[in-house]
Amino acid sequence: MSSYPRAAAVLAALIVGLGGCAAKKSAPQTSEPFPSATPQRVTDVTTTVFPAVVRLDVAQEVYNDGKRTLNRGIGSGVIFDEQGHVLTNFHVAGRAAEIYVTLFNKERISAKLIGDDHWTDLAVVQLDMAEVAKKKITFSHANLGSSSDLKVGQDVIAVGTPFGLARTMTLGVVSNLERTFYPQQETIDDYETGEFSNWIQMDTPIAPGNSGGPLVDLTGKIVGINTRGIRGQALNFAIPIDTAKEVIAAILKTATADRKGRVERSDIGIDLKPMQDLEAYYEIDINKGVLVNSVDRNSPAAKAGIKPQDIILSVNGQPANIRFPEEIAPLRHVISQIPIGQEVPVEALRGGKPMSFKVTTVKLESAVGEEREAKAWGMSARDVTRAYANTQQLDDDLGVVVTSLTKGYPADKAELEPGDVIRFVNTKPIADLEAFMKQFEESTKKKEEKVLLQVLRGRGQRDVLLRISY
Amino acid sequence: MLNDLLTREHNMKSLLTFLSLLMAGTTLAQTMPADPAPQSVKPADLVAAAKPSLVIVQFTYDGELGRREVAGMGVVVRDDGLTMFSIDLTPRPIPDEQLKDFKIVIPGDEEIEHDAEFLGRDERYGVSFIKPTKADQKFTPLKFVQKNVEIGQPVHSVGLLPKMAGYSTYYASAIVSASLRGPIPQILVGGGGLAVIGSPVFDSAGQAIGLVNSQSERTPLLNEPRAAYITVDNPPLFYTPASDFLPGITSPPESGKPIRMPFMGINQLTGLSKDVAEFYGLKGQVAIQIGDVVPGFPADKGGLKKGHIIVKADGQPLERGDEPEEAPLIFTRKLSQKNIGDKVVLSVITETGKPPQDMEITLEERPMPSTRAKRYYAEDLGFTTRDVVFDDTYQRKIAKDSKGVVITFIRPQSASQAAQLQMNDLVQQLNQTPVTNVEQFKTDYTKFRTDRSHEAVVLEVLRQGNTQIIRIEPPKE
Repeated sequence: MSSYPRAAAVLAALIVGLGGCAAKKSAPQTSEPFPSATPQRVTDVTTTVFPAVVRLDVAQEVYNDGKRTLNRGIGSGVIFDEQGHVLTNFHVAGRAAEIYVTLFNKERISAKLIGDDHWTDLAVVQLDMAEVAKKKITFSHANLGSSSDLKVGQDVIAVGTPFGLARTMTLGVVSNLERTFYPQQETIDDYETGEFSNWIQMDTPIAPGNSGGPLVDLTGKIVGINTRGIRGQALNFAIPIDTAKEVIAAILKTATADRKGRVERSDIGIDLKPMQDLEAYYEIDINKGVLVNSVDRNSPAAKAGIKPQDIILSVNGQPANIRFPEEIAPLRHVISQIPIGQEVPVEALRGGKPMSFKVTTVKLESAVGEEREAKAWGMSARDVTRAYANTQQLDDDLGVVVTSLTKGYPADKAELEPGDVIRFVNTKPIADLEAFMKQFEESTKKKEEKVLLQVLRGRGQRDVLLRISY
Repeated sequence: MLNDLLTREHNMKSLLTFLSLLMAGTTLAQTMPADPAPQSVKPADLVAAAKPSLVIVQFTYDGELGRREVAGMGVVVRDDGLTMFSIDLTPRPIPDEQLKDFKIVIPGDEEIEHDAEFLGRDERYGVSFIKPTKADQKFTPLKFVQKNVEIGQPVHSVGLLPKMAGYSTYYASAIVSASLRGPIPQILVGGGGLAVIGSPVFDSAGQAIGLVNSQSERTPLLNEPRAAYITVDNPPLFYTPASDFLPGITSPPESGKPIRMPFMGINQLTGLSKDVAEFYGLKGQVAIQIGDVVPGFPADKGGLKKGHIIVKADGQPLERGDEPEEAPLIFTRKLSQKNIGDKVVLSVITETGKPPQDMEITLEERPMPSTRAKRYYAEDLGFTTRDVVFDDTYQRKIAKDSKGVVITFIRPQSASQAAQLQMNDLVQQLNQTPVTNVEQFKTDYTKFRTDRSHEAVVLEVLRQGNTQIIRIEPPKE
């Protein structure tokens, strides 16, 4: 299975002329809870939704060969409000440096990234409304429905730009509403994803370029965001719109003119395992509790005394009954919604005996830290996050980790390697990426020709001397 | 140091591969003083003289994947039949207990087999030894001598062809191209090649001056069908001079008594590059930076710390390799050839700008390697465990006295593979009972499997710093 990257597509124009206005297209009226895909209804829904669906041409910021570069690609998105906000995938527009949106009327408008969230593979971008007004362009926006009312077997439509084929709608049915790939950890360029909701599985054909486009029910409401699939198979997956609505709200609430919006979540540092077939072994009732598979080092759960093989019965008063893998994401979601820094009660069993813990949540961190380039040295580096330190068994989260090198540049010539953790620059301690970039900038400003780095490689410490010519 | 030994091996193989690709008769600049031009011996005479000392080392590998006959070349080095062969024939990761039924086979139309016992590997010199179990037969040993060679000098080797060629004796000759300074000294040859791994190398006077030992992309096996083609098409191009392994012949390991290796407890050593050396005011000097010091071991007791830079050992400058990264490999190999209890005085820069200070380190015995750890094969569920050794705790950054067993083998298509148990998992609990060692694990496991054969086995394992709960469903049959 893979997420569908962006591919070329063009959407046809429908709305023209009403300068600077946004209109909400009305959904086709129906009293049926799950209207079937009659030709008339499909046509109506398509007519309703198409004007809100856009193509995105995106240049994403990535770091390769020691340099910041831009990866250009194309995806889909859906306008969801009058302010020109567009919902799409993180893997389409996350980390974007440049975005152009082609509206249904073929007009091309620049846009900017408002916020992104790799955990759910979602991003919000906004049309340049000044440009919209100046060009007297109109657009319409779609109705976000609810994914909680979906039923397996229900007809759904996917809209987007598969392989660059403009104005493509495809029809299919919902195949499953709680798809999980547990225990596999899905990632997007190393970023963790898909942990806080299950996927909508549908047989509606989608392909590269559909990513970020809407999955629509036959009332014309958006019920999901098409995201990934198994190529060549009728096995495709969308993010539930209920998940997206939370992400949209968090991003719009936190976004400022100079800072991306974000979704902050709580974490307690445990990995959960379903109880299926383990109930008898642990002598516990069926459909009760969830097994602690592992506890992250120095995590809130570890500090509170929670151990592997404890069976958690409730978190913050909410029952934690997980028998099947599909039930894990909802509990992760519950934990993620607890305010950061709040002490919460956790009830558990250990060897059959009740245990009570007080766990203070911390902010959820990705193992992938912020990344920058140190161009004159020919390298890129990421912040060492708490999660990265945990996965690599580092003693702490100090320093930056080298991610890539430019051939023939000082870092490469000094035999620095990706994965090395830089702890000191010219004997000055490097706590994080900010400290590293400060030292880099100071050094390049002074045109230092020799820079001594102290790095950790595996368990070993070593000195590396960069020789820089300006 | 444990890691450095492995790294050394890896680096050497990389070097050999690189050079074998690079060299096609190219003459390198290294020279050594040589004896006056020796008198030539006829190839046929050389073969006839060497033949009685060349034998087949034959044994059975009996492990989790089944049994397999192994045959490679050995050289008799003592008249009681003590036979030396390349350590590659008995790879380090394979535990001794899985190597069985050793034989020394004298090749010929009527092969003569002698039952033999495995004396062990000698990691210090890269060779292994076996000896006949009965001392009622006289053998013809080959005497190796230490002798320098010079570039352009012819060298000759006599080996045994693979089984499909009847283990016939064969001759190969080459010209010395270069003498390489690495952790294991190697002589590179061109203008031909050498005989199979395990073959002795002679000068033109017929004196045995080296051994064709480990080299990449060459097999030491003589009973593998492909071996015949490999040996002929792609002959070895390196040999180890006798000076390097002669001490091993003088004091070979004893059966059941593996060689006790000395240990200093420094790890992740880096040879300072020219630039870093200059930065520390060590222009033109060989220097090694210590990456890690293992707590509680000699280096730690002697005051060494990570980041310190070694510039001398026992008052002598460190030996230079052909590249900076070889200096630590040479240093650790030299160290491995010392005795437990020996004192080593290291001159160490502990702080930038300060002169080196001497630190005396008393070598202790190297902790037991994983190959000698006790093992248990849980055949019904398809996994093998062994006792935890020092290196396991070091690599995982867990307490030195941590208990448990380490998974060393998962049989394909087994119940343990289906349950996603993995190699190197450290099992800490079996059915909620703490695991201390293989003996206790075996007792508890077999009892559980006997008493409750239809119930799942639940293991708590440590994997990359985190625990995992593994539930192994036993086969229904």
